[in-house]
Amino acid sequence: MSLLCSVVIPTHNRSDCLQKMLKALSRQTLAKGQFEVIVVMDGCTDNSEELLKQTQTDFHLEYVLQQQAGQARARNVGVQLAHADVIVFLDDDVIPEPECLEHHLRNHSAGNSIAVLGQAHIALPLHPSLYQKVVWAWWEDRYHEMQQPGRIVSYRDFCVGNASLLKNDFISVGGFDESFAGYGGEDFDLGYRLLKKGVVFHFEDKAVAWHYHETSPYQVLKNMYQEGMHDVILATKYPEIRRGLRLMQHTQAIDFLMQKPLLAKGLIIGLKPFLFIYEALGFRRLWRNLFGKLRHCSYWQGVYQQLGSFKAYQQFCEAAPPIPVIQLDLTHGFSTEAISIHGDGPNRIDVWFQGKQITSVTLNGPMDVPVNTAVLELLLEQNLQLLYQLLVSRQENV
Amino acid sequence: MSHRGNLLLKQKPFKPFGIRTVDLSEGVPDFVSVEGYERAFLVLKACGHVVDTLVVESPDGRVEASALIEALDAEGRRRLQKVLVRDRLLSKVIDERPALPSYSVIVCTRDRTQDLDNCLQSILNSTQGACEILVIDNDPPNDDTKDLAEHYSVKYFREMKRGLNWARTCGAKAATGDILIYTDDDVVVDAEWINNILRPFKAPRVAAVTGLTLPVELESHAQSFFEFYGGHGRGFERKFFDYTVIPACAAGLVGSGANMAIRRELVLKHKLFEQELDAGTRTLSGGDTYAYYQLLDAGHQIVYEPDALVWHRHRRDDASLVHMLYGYSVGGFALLMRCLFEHKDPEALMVGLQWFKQHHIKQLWRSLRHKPDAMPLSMILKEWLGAILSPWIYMHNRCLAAMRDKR
Repeated sequence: MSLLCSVVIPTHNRSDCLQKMLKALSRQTLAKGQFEVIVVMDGCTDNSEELLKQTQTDFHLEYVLQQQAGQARARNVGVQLAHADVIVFLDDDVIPEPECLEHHLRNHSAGNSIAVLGQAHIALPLHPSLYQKVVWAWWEDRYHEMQQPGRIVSYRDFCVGNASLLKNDFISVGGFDESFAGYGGEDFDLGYRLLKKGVVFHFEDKAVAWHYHETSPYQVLKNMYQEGMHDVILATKYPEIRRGLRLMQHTQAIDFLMQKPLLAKGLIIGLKPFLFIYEALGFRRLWRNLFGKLRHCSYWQGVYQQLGSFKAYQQFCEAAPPIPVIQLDLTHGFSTEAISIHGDGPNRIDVWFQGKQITSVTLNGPMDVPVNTAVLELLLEQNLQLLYQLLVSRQENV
Repeated sequence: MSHRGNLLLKQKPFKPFGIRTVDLSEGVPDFVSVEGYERAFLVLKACGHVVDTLVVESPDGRVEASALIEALDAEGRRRLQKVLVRDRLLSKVIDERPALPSYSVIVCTRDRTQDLDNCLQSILNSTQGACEILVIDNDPPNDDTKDLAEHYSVKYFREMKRGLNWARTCGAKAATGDILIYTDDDVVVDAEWINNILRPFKAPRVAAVTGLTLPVELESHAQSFFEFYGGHGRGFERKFFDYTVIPACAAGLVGSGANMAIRRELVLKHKLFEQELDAGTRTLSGGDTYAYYQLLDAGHQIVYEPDALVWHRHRRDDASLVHMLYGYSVGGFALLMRCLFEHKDPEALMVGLQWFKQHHIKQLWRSLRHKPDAMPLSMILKEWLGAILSPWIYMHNRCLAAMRDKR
């Protein structure tokens, strides 16, 4: 039986998750000889290594221990060790359903240059905490949006927790950028290079996995801080995506806090405990407001940390490329393929009707709904009277 | 609340309203005939969507186009324009009809065979191909419902525990579809009802969908009064509710139980209807609202989808109308007490005070100042009575339940 795919799993001190993971992999419907598993221990100091040594598996299992150097490095090492043409990336806390690998491979059978993105659901408990509700809703909405027809694919769709791609594609774009340390960022970066190379992102809703690791609101704040740093790195590497990043959407309050970084830090530390107080008292609205603000603050702190000063930030914003302009002709109605916009960042859309420009609207990216829907809703909201007169009232008497 | 309707209601003697559906897709017709009625309740449709309802006088049994246009307010006009523009712009797009999930229709009934007959007929007209329909006969006094059900290709079940919620639970356990569509025996459903109520379930976060309920007749004062003072409708635009949009305990805003669909796994997982609530029990109402509350509280989303349309026959006599308003007050406040004491939800206090202030106090104030469209004082007092008695009824229920558990 030939080897079809290599499953690459980076891990860091989570031997309990790892054990569940190995069990889930031995339950795969894909024949045992058709996949191999490569675990890269990124500076593990717990009993992960013993666990891997002792575990008897009926699939081929390889593991390697590296000095702690981050997930990007760990995954690159994993791919170097892989023997198969298709690489499946799974996070150590993302437990695949039995058919998961099979559905990944089904999409690769034609050998086309595609990346298959699976789903990593969060199981919602019977009585979830406010934080669990927020995280669950975010992921569910995200997967739903990704399946909408006519949606523009973004590099931000490439989440590497449950995804597969050809080894050749991975190597030819240069693999993960190891300068991204800590949480996230490296997958968006790889996603961007893959899209540039022409790799098609295919969303496979049947490749299901379950996200088990418990995080906390504090952990999210830390992640947001790192996202801020990573967005600066991404925007520096690829100036053309700069306009679509959150770090361009600053307000006066943010500018003020950027100039007083110590105050911002103090606010975050001082207000954090209120998350628990509000939750205990059942004040959902206050909790949600505060959590939103804290996430925001943490993100901007990360941006500040990476850039070093408010002045550098201002220069950074000024250097952003201009907003692209798209022409849209409504004479023959709206079709699903009518518009192709530049996926990430704002676009100005000039709307034409029977050879005359009637209006122009600005769409802010990245899109969370199909572009058509977004444009149509904007037009209906802002230009209803005009459109109505052009399209309908000539023929009718309402 | 329909201001125009309320003013017409004040005129004595009461004159019934003729209900007509008017399609405006191809423009306003020259006149709408409402023969035999001096007043008309017009349901305006365009391109398959209900955009508004109007109350107009029709002295000669007809409504002229000019009267219709004059009665249409700015909001209604905007919705109509939106629907028409959307239709013109999207006409080129082929509407991909995605595969709908499997479903079961559950009709809870008690000794109303004539209504049930109409209801089943309309449901069968609204389905394409095979579909599971369950008739739940709640504590039946005779075999009439069973005999009627045998004439249709429906599954008949009997729930001997009296109460609408027990009937709903019985249906949920017996059904096999992924989505449970609940309706009552006193409705007639629209031809596209099932398709439209199922469509929002494409989004995974949607736990339940409620629809638009319009009156099937406005022949008596009680029916018209109920419709113009709120009725079951929740507007003509799609709305998405979750705990970030409204406080979970204001779940009554979401819609009515006569026209709702819920995922079966959630009904069973949260035991949504396994409480002694709603019609046929001491709290008189609130079973559906409590189910919505639990869903919102657990982080799920509920969609109000006005395209899912049913026609409801409101209570005909004033006595049952007053009893129902009393029931809403009792059920509503009992629900808030439950949220506050059993779910430790402080928002219930806020919502309760707000409701009392904006409805009970405001209506009493308006009535005492003799505002032209105020509610009659007798009804307001009955609502106040419900609000005041509600905590005691809730406590009484809790004590009874505690005693039962002890035994």
